[in-house]
Amino acid sequence: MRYFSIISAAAVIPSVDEAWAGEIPASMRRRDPRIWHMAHVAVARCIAKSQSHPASILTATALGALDETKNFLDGIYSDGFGSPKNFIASVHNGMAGKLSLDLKIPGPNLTLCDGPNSFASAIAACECLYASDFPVLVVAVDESVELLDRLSPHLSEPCRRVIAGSKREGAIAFILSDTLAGGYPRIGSTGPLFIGNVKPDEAFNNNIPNAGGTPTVIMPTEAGGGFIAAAVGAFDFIADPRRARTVIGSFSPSSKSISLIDLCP
Amino acid sequence: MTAAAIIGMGAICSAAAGVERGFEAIRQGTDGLSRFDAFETGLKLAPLCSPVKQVPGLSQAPNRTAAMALCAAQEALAPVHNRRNLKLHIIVATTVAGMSRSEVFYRKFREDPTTAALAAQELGHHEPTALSGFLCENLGGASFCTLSTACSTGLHAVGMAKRSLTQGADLCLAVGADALSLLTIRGFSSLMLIDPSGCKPFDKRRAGISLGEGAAAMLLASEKAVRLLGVAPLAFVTGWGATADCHHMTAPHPAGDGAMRCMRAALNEAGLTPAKIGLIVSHGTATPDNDLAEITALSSVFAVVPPFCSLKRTLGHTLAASGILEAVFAVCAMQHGCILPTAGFQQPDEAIGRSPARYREQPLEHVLKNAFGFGGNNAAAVISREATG
Repeated sequence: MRYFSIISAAAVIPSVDEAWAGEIPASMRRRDPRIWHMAHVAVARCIAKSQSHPASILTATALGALDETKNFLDGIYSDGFGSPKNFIASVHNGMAGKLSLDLKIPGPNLTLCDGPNSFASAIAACECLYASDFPVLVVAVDESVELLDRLSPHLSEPCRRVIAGSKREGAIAFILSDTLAGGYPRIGSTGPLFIGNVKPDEAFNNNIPNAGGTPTVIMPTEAGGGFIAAAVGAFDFIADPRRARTVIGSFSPSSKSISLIDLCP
Repeated sequence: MTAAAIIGMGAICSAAAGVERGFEAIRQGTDGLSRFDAFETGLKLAPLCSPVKQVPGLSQAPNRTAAMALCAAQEALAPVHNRRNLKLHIIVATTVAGMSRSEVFYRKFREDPTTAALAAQELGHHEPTALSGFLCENLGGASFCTLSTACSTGLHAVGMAKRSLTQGADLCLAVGADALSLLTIRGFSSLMLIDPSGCKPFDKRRAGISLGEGAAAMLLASEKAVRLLGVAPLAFVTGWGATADCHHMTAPHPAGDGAMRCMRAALNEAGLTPAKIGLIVSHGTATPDNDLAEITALSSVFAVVPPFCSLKRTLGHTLAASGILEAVFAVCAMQHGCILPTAGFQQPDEAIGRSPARYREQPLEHVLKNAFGFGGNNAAAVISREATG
């Protein structure tokens, strides 16, 4: 596992942050989907804090702008016309493309879609970048979707827990450096590990990184559920002045996989 | 060694299941398009597409994308009979994942809300990551990541697989797969990007894309793994470039700026000058803007533009699969020593000023593959006969 310095972090969690909507640029308000709004505001806050401009973007999202996909299909199924605006927004990497366009970020632009492991997957993907691709902007973003809430009672119990989790909607942005100087906290990730029918907690305990010391461990079930729980956990770690090494787990029932984020002060 | 050895390949496309049969269709410049009738699209005229007629294992797979992905992956892994305890890392590229099944379920649900009771079985594989889990389960994968960057995804998966080897992985399987779905057919139609008479890459009459479906896989191995497994590399991935246009959500940069930087990055990583490239398997979607921008970018990178081709009329635009599927056939071109033809091209376009190459035999040492996608997302990869990088 490789570690990266977190030089800046910012979040938009609508359930606890009423101010965020006031920061949506006028040019985006009417035209772009809400999930893009959340990502944009979190990223703008993150860049403002860091005073550094990212060279590349990694977006982590389980479902992307699923509401736009639904709206597009609704258009076809109701009046036979699907809106091109909805189609463009429905593409998973639409957000990353929009961020690169608005913020002029010319380097690698990748979107990782690994359910609750998406954030861990994006951190692990940083290992595939070159030094010139840093600093890298990592954005974890997902939204609550009314359709999924309606279908949730009919889904499997683990999927229900993810969808109904307290951390199911928001955007968390991080700017990472590949140098470990400067006293910044560090982050590393295993990326998704396939566990098949092994119990997640058991697999999780078997894979805790041996980076020295005994970390505080946040198991997937304690993370609060939701697609962005691991990223929220990492943000909370940054915000805590008394932070101690913490390992955050996540579990994806859809792909029978776990991942671990290792945070070092 | 920074190059990644390709030790296995697999493909399924409209022409055939299997790399060799698919390549034969490409070498012959086969027109792979037919009127699409697999499901009702709601369009006045059924579009010309490249559907896969028979998907092996479809009844045992959760959806069409997964069945095609598994088919290609199994072919790629076939040369390795014993993995010698090397862990397999899988990088999956998809844009629609289980959408072909989800959209049918959603239509029924709109008409009859009691069908919600079927949600667990119908939507269980909707998420892109579910495809990765399915492949790991069936192929013995230890870890994975799931990429979704529209039409460039498959080639990014190849590039990330290469870089994963340099970060310590020994065996990395890149897989790209996408099935035709109502979402994509109607989506591209809503953007007026589908040519009703079929795509004509780089042709003066070109008026848009033709969609297709398929999957491809490449098994990449570290130097240590090649030795341990006792396999002979088919070729090497020597360079990967990844850039963003920062220009427009759906239109390419008119001067091909992002594409140009991307190709240069791939060449730089491969340690090659542009003059070393013997063939470019272009993105070549056949939209008026895309083809022109790609040629403009090629003209900026190459003092003398090497022979280039587009495989889209034979394969259709297979979205997330396209980059890796066409890279697989680029390796075949290198193995067979030939320049590939461009089906659908007839009339040169003065605005482009260049024509794709005709089929001919020619030894190839290095091939460049491009793939570009929504959001100004660019990928390029250099594939070489020897590990030169």
